[in-house]
Amino acid sequence: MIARPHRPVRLGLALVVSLALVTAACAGSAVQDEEPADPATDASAAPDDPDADAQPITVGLVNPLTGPFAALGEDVNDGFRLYLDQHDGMLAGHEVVVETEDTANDVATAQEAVTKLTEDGVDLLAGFVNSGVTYGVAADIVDSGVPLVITTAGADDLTQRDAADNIFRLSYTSSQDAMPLGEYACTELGHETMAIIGLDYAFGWEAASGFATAYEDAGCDVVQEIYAALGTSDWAPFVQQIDDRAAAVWAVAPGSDGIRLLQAYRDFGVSQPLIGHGSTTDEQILSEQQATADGVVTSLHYSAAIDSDDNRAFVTAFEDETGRSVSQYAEHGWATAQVLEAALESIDGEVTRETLVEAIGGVEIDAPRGPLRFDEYGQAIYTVYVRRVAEVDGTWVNEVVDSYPDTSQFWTYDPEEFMAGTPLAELHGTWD
Amino acid sequence: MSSTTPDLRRQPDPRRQPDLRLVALAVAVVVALAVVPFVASTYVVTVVLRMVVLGLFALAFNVVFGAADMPSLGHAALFGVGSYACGLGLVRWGWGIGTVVVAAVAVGTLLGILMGIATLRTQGIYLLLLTLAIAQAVWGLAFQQVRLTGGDNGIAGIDRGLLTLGGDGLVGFYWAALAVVTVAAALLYAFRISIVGTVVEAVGMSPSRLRALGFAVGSYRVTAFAVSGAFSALAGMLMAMATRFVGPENLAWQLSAEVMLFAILGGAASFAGPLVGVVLVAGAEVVVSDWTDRWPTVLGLLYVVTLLFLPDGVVGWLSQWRDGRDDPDRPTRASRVGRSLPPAVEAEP
Amino acid sequence: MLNGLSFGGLLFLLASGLTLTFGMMRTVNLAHGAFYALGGYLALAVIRASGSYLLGLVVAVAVVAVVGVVLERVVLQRVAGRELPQIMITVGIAYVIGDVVLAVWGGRPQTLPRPPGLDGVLNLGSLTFPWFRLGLLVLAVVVYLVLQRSLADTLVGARIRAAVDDDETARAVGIDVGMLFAVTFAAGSGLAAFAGVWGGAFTGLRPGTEWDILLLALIVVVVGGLGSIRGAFVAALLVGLLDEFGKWLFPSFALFTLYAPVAVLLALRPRGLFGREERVA
Repeated sequence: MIARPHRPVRLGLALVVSLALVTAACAGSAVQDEEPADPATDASAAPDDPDADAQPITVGLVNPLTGPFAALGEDVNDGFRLYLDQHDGMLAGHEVVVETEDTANDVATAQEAVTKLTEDGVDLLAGFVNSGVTYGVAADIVDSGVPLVITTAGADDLTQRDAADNIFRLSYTSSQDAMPLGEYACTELGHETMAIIGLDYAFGWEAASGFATAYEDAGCDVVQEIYAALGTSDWAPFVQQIDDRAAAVWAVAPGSDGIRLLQAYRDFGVSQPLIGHGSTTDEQILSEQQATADGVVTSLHYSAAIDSDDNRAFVTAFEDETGRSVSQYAEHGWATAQVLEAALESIDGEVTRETLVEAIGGVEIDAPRGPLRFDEYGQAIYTVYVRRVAEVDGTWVNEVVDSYPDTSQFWTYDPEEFMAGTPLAELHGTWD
Repeated sequence: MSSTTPDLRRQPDPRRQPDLRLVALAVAVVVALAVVPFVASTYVVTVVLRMVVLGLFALAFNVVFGAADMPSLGHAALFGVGSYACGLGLVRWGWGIGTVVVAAVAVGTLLGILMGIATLRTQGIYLLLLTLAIAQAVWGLAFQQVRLTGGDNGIAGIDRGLLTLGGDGLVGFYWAALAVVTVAAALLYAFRISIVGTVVEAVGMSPSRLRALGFAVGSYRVTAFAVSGAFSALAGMLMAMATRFVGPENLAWQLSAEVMLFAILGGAASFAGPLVGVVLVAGAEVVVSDWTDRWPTVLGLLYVVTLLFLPDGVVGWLSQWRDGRDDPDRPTRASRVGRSLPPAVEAEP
Repeated sequence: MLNGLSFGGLLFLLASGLTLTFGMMRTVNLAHGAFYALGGYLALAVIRASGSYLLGLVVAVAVVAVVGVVLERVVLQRVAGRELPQIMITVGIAYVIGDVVLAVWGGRPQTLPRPPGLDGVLNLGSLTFPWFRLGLLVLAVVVYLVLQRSLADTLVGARIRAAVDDDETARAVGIDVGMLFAVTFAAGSGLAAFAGVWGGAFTGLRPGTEWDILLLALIVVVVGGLGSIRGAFVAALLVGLLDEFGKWLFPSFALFTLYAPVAVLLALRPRGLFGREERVA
């Protein structure tokens, strides 16, 4: 048994603190009561497992479960649990126990969650949606040595200039999925001039500058950049500024901003074709966007419509289990479990934080999205799909129209040169 | 209504003497807190550290709120500029820790003075909304001026080893922060029982009477904001070091609401009330969120029920329970701030 | 320009309920945004189940109005006239409503359908303008006129004004103040839900909507002047235009240009634009 919760210590603390702070005592004792409530699986009794006595593995899922990103965190967690359930709670012969914590999208809360989980002896942490929160916990996680698989947060530098040995990411860097479309839009779609419209924060800028870099290097020209503050209620003033010189418009606006942007775009009859970052027509919002998204071409490392057995099995299982449409976030959770399974399989002997970090770095899996492995900075290398929104049998989907296999976070550029250059976020506003 | 306002002249020395029971209790609490790292896990130290830092913030807030009777909903700005002074100074500009402390306190004081002056003509709910608007403007700047502040990604990599009493880990910083907060709390208490502090409190109770007595009411209000700003920013600086991170959430209005909740729930009329509020609220957050995913519902209900039954906060309730019956004229916090809505503008000269 | 005005129309709609509960009754109702969100989500559920927009609208308004009255009678009435407990209690209520909404409807962003008949676009030469936005503006004017008239010219309105100004005297002359306040609170909550149904088609609904909307509504009510319906109307249009021009002129200061002028105005005119004269009248 590795490091189960330190109950005696907590009890001791409760006594001490109660001297001074009445309620802290309640805190201590209530914390103890909580442990059995964890969704520990009962699969330890799985009958025909060859090495059923292998050490149990604890995974801490650290995602926002309340607040604006709750739906993302929920999908990640459900994707992970679903894969685990399908394997009776056992991965590579290890019983896997899941502990979930709510980051509430807040750094202090997330740090407390991480500290608690590392103390409880988790072997793997997975989660995080907001890049700021991820930066806020990165130092603690690096100190602890526990491997972290980031499942959503996009800030480029988390796996570039600030990369750490024990931090991996199987979701995108903000620019990774945008760059292939830069080339595609110029060479395949033949849009020679482009207006960029996006959200005015680090993710929006990195994605936009990633797109613009690849687009201009392919020989085309960004003629305009428009950025709107996060949570912009009214996108009309922005879409109306779009310049006639632009042959097409590239957009990055995830979440409810994506719904409002497309609504305004159609309302005001902007004539140029619309393309964008895949999060702009994410499956979580596509059912709301409906016809306003018709024909929008975007790039992302996933689409629910990927035509493969792996993906179909995943989509069916997730939708049957949760009743929700599948999303990239659900795939991230599922793929995290696959990564863990593959890493455990490759470990000979004791599973420690060090061996697990090393094993994760070497895994190659077939996720619902297709082949996935990590580069030397811990960032996933995967296929980026070019998708077009269409209505199929009454449902709006991101149909796959093309793909860029083995796309690295550095696209076709040299990693050293890429990172020696100006950070993409700081290039926003310099393209037009 | 105003008949319950105590006459300043009949309030001689007691308020200006340190309450020895409180001092003794404080010493005991600090000693107990200092021992925590020896007996508790890192997780508990992290939680207690946050409470200690928020405790200073709550005390600083209460200078404006409880003492001077100005319900500010903009204190996150005062807290957050301290955090950003720390993050920018240490990470971006390579300042020393001494410079950062001075800068944080100075920026907090300045913004406090600014807020105090801006709100001179307001009271009650109008002051609340004005301070909210000011803080939101500051938040908007931090959120959007990304080249400087990192925007939503914030500033990471703050070295808390710079402020330590033993080692460069969490515990060394914990003791250092506890020491800073203890000294700061003592200074705030000294201010509270100083002549200026007493007048500030009297201004809170009855500005018109104080004005009639010839006090420059406005300057005392600004002073309260300045003191509050200085110590709020100090707390913000400590928070940035504790979390090794600054982001716009250090300026978010939810933080202003939370610190007000500390004060109201604990009891804003007494010096230590807000501290009790911190322990109750932050403790409840930790416990309840551990216990259920639907913790906002539970916390929300907790607020409603507590405020319905203890409108003067826990400390207010305790002291009423102790000596309430023999002093029916004692103004309760709620009756004081809550005398329906005061006129927005004091009768103009 | 028209955009700014139509956004202003939306702002007035979502602030109109708050003008009643907070502005007139002086109940600091920070659950207003939560009522908005609850109304939007309820309408969405009913519309999806029944296919009838009108039914969704009616159910949402009715249910939220009842919720509002119950809260006013059972909880808020006990802290009448005391702002700070009101603040904390309504924040608590907003937490509960927000969390229940999240539990029931999930965290994915959703959007309400537009009212039937307002889907298309108006084309006048080079000018394109969606009917829905025009509808918002018209609706705002209608709601404004109805509120203004019913408070100024009807007996109930006169009684409400009397009860707000001096509830003891109002009681003494036989006005059922408790009843009136319940009615006003019902109207305010119902208007919040009404705004949620319309606004939900504009801004969408997601976790956190309750706070976004609350901030906008507070700004409008306070800039306009507490209790002044005319003030709220003018302020809504001004803030809408300010927001629009701020985005044009200083996009990277858009958040600052929304709040800083509000702060300056309040520092100089604490009662907002129309606060004073309404009170005298």
